[in-house]
Amino acid sequence: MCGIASIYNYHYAAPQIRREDLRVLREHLRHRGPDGEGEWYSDCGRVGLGHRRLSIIDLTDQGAQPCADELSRVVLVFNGEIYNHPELRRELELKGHRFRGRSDTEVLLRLYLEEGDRCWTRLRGMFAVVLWDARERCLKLVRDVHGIKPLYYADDGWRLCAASQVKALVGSRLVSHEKEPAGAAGYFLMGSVPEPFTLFREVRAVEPGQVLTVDERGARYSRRFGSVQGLWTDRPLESGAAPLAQAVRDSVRYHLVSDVPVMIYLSAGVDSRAIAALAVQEKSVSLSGLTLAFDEPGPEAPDESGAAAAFAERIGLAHRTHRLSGADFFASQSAFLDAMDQPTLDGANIYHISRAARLAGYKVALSGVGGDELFAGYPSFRDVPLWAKLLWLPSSIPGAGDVWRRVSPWVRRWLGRGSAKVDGLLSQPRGLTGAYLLKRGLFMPWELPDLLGKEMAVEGLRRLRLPERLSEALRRTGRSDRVRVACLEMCFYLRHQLLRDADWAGMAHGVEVRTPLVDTVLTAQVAALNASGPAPAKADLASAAGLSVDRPKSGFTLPVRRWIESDRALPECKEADRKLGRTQHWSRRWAYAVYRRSAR
Amino acid sequence: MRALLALVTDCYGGNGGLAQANRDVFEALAAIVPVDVLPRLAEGVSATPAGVSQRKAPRSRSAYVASAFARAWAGRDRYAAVFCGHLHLAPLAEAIHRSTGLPYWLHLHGIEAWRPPSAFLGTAPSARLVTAVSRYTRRRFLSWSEVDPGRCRLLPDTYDARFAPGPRSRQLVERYGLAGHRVILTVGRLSSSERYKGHDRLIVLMPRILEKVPEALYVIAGGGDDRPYLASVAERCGVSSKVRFIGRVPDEDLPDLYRSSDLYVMPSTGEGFGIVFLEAAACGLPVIGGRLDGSADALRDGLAGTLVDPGNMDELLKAVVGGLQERGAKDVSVFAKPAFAGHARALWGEFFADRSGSAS
Repeated sequence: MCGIASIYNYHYAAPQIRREDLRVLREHLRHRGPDGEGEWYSDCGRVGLGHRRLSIIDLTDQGAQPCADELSRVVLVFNGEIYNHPELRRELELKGHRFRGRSDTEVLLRLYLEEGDRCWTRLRGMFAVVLWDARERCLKLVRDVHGIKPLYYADDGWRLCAASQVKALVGSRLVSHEKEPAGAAGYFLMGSVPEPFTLFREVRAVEPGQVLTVDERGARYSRRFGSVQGLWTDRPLESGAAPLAQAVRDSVRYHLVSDVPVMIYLSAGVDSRAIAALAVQEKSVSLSGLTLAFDEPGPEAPDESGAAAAFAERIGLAHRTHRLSGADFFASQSAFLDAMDQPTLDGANIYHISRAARLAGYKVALSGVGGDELFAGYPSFRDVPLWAKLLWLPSSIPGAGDVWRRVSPWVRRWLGRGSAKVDGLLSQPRGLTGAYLLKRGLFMPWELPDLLGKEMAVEGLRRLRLPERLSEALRRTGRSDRVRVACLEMCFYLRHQLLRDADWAGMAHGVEVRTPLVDTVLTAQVAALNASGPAPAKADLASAAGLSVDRPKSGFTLPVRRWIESDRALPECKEADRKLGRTQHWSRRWAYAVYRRSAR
Repeated sequence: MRALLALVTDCYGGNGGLAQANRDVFEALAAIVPVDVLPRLAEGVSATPAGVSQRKAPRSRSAYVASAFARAWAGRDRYAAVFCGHLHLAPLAEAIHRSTGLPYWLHLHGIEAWRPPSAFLGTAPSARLVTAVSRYTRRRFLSWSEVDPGRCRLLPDTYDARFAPGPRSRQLVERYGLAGHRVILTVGRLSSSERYKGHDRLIVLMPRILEKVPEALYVIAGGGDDRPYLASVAERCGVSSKVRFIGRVPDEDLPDLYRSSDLYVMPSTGEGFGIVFLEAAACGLPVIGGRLDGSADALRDGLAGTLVDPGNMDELLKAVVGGLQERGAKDVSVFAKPAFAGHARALWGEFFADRSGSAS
């Protein structure tokens, strides 16, 4: 896990790159890789690759990046982990490849040399890669299928700059600061900025599971090597579906590949407990559990530390609890928001637990993120198909949406309860996409002009085309509601919010957050089990790990509401209160405050 | 081999920059794909190079639309694609694409693409390829269009090999009374509706320039209705004798005019690219342009000339005085025709080779 950056002045009219530009870009990623730095420039002076290193596998200089073969045919920088690198290494050695060190980066390099773009499907792990292929004279930017690791680029027609974080590109002053209305609109609709958009027009996310190739003509997607939808529907498993217990155990084992001790973020929920229970059975690496607890627990953020500690003791896992007080939260509020790469509704939890992990001396952590998407743990798996059916008929009545939007606020006022989202019950597109927008929606489209101004809201919604993007994500996903909702959750909520938060919030402290339940092989296994029998659920995950589901689903939440309503909250929180009114749900006020802060 | 149907405002026989840019594209592509040009206007008759044929311009707009449709429909198996040489023709190219399936290539020259034109039907043309002459034009176009940025590439203007360094032309020096002066030159249309080229800013600056370089003379080449206004500005500033309007210069005299000058200045805020910068620099002149528009590309971010904030008079003064003392131009050969042609053909190969039946 590291920070990567590149500049390619690809157009024939563009001058050579300036080395100081690449260094400035790279240094904006310093927090992601405190253990070292590296850079490489092509002989033609048009390509530069930069790297900040967080050393986890092969701690020697042999694991340094950029990594090139002896003839400099291919040079790459890489952010992430290739968990199956030992077996790939053995395979490559049999084919005559010789390795200088033990790093997964070198395996990736050799595998690319051997197989070219076919190599991407061979990788089990999380990765964002920028490589220069001198044989084809092109730069390639690649992200893993789930989009666990981020990679952003800005292409002005002459020059393509890429980096692990949006803030690095924008902070380097190499790219335009012009705002992207679609990014802002998407944030208010969903609580996170939907890819490929960012808050900046020129900066875009590399599409997961695709290869973005840049040569003298420009940048284009040249190959799609995988998709979440494909994992759920296309991929026949040669050996049939493995038992779930074996599949999950396999994924956890792979995610423990490390030369440094590994921390497990432990709550009292099924996902993290299952990971911990399976991880302790592997003796390959030193493990410890960490639970975040609050000085002021409450119903929305109960203190799980006791239950987590008891569980850790039962399975023989070393464990510690980090107590976060309101004072700690306020003291770190500015640093938290400054570290945030793109505005997001969430992220405080993983930010604070990662901070605690780093203080304890850890730089690798396992998280249970992704379990709810894979094992249908969210209420959305029940609600979205149900709402889609219930709303189908009333939504079909011409004008019903407009009438309801006018009536609904009165009804809510009369009842004295209900979310503003209720107003949009009949105004969303019919089917799963509309129901999903209602379920996951933070603000409704007609609320955006108040938040962004009319022009930006209209332009943002027009460019974003969110319903169309959701429909696109459902293409070729078959008829199973379970699979269709899983695809939506994995391609939107998981990818744009949870995984992005896990990345920036972990890397803010130099901690690599690994996600054993977001894994291409495991997803395909669960999909195969789903296709051949009863859909694997949370209870199956629990039993696969030898746990009992003895408590209802618990989130991994902070008492943010009480904190942002405190007198010590940031000025942006007070501004949000004034703008939206204190009766609005705290998440909406917090979202507005975060956006205002990011737009400073 | 299937051909390219080119819908353009003007081309062979035309005198403007658009006509020249279109000719450059077609001459580059003619080596790999036959080009069939249908101009909206044709000022005169001109020979076309091998591989390019030009049809007669229809008399009216409706006749043009009908002719373009008829040609595309009848030749939908003969054509590989449609080239659309102006954004205002994009609705026509879009309609042809929707009715015949022919993909189209939209080329953007500059200011016309900076804001959505009112006549433009929708903001997401299905152009398979959009080329813009500069990064600035591309950025402005993408700010309102929904075209995938990956399909929007750069194809900068190029310049003719006849623009090359050479001795001063005695004839022109004599004709325009340039002897004994340090000549600051601007070439461009003088249009009252497009006062973005910065002639007036330079005239206002002339008194301060003359303080430092007394032999300076500002020569303005180009015709148009804004000459009286500019003359009045010169008079108000008391520099009428140091500002010389020489009118429209014949195309064949342009290289000699550049060679007979000392500095090319155009502090414009509205250049799509600024081909004149290339022509002037190729003839050996130091050049000064604005950094807020497409000029930054022609001057290669300052490598091929000096970039200034066009509204900052102190910065402009410093650049002009420095430029008059400068010897030798920067190299702009990167924009010469071989690189341009190679790039145009490569773009054709990437986007349309599947339909043309030819390799790029």
